[in-house]
Amino acid sequence: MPTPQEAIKTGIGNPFAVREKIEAAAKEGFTSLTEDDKFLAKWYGLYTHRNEPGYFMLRLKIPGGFLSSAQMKTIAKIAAEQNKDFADLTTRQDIQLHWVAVKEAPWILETLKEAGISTLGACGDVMRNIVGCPVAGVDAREYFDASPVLQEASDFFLGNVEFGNLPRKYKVSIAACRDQCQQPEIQCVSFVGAERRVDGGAQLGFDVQVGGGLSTKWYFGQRMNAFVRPEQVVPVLKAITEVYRDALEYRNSRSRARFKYLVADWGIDKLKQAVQAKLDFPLEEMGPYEEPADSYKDHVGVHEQKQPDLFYVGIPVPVGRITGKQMRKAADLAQTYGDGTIRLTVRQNLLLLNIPKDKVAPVLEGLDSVGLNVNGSPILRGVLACTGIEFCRLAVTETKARALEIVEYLEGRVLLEEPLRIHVTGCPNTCAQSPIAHIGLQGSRATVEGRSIETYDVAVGGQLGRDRAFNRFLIRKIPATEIKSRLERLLLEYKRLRKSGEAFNDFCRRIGDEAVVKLLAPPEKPSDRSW
Amino acid sequence: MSYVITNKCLGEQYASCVEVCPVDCIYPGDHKGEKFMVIDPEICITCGACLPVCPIGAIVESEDYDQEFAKVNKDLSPSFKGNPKVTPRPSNDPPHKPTNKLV
Repeated sequence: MPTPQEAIKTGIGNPFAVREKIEAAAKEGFTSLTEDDKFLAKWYGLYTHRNEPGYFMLRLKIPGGFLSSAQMKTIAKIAAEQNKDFADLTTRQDIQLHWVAVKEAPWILETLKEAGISTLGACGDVMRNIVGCPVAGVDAREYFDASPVLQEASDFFLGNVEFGNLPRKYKVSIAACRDQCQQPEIQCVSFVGAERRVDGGAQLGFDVQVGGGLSTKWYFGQRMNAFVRPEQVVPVLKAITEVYRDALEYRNSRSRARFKYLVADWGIDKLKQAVQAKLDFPLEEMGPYEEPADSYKDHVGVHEQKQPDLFYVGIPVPVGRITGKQMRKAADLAQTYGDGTIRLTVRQNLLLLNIPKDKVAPVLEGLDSVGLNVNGSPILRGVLACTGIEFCRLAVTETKARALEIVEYLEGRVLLEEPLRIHVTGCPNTCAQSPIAHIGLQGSRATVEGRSIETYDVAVGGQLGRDRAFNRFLIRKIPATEIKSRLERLLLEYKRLRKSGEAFNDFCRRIGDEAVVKLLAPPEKPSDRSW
Repeated sequence: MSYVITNKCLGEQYASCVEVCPVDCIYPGDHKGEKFMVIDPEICITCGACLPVCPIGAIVESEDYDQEFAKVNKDLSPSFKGNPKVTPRPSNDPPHKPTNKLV
């Protein structure tokens, strides 16, 4: 039996038509919006704020995280005039604006449109922002530049009514970088750049992974064993999406509607057959395939591009929260010293591309002058945080401020050589990708002396790549205020006891979960340590 | 809106759900002489963490799916709330009832 949400979508026919309701509400007020309207407003990227009635979060669509200076300036202008002069960079290379009042929404959407930015399908049961490698086209090590293919796929699905009503949100990544920074393991569908040896030569194309996803039930993607040439990507993606769209049994329960469940239920063979049936060319086999080892990758720092004498500058934006002032400065610097090319990353960071060698120093100085320092500490660089209780209706804890508090505390006390992925997420929906973090902190609550307090469940051991693993919960409900000191102890002991060059996850595996739990327990006297 | 523990849990009480609930709104108790668990609809935040972890799939995602047991969950929550926590059964423990199976 289809869910009530299905009836809402079928009722309107074209979910993108909710634009009319938004326009009407801009004149008549927020209360003129029904609950159904608010559900459909997601198709325009509008998501109701948690506490204050009348305000939305607005998520944009920024395919592959590609942004121009002019676009960033426009976003900063909107943020300054309407929205308290800040924005949030997301884990899908995207931007979220908060405090969007419904009466401002039409103006904001038009202003963005004039700058070439759409918000169609940023939220809702549709193709979401497609993620790619943020240094596509400039990375010396990439197999090839997959960004034209990403743009083509994004354009095809943008506002496409034929695919405007999927069973649930749908997340795709397309890239051809050797580090697989587009996180194919956790996407619904991912096209992963690869080289196939055939007839003594090499062909460049994509290997396809399907069925990854996090939220409350975590799945890693599986390889479809299909080699797809760049010009075949859109037809193949269209075919896969049609299979998903038309699998009506995934419209009966919102908690079992994601593509990952279809892949788990059907298995790869059945899915591949169904996809092949829709194509007028045969899906080729991939053959031998090498996955990268998991290594921390955040694009932070100053890096040489493949183009001679050009560099990209990667800046950590702590927990993705960027001020209007910082956006304006970054846009200015990109335009003045580079060619205006900006990229966003899945670690909530910002890159300025195509900076000539002799201009790197003024760019760094300029960024530093607005508090964007390229030399983030390893602790700072590794942190990711979701929106949290500040704005999100689903969250049970404060995340960004808490993450920054933890970072500030740990930075002065633990010197790491390499960043660790420390992801802070406000509830079991794991929007901050906590399951793949070295240390995942998942928000929860506990009652202490009659009061409800914020707590975090701590998990360790997540990673992607060849030895991919989701992390394991070790202790539940540590008071949020105590997290920083518990992590301090764990990290100091990791530094003290690790073998030379031993990675954090390997260390935890070696000493065993029980021992890690002991390190996360409240501090005891040194003499109490039994091992 | 709230998640609901259905009749499948009667006599089973795996309690795998309790640990993953971020707001501690799942309580054990006895219903009509059988072990049971309820989700407190006053507190449930519909995060969905419990549904996938029940070894026998006893949880549904809203009252619409089981109005009879939605009422049971609602009615029994106040009295179950103070009950001491039970030790969870291993998730691969065979169900006690022949009508249940591990999902």
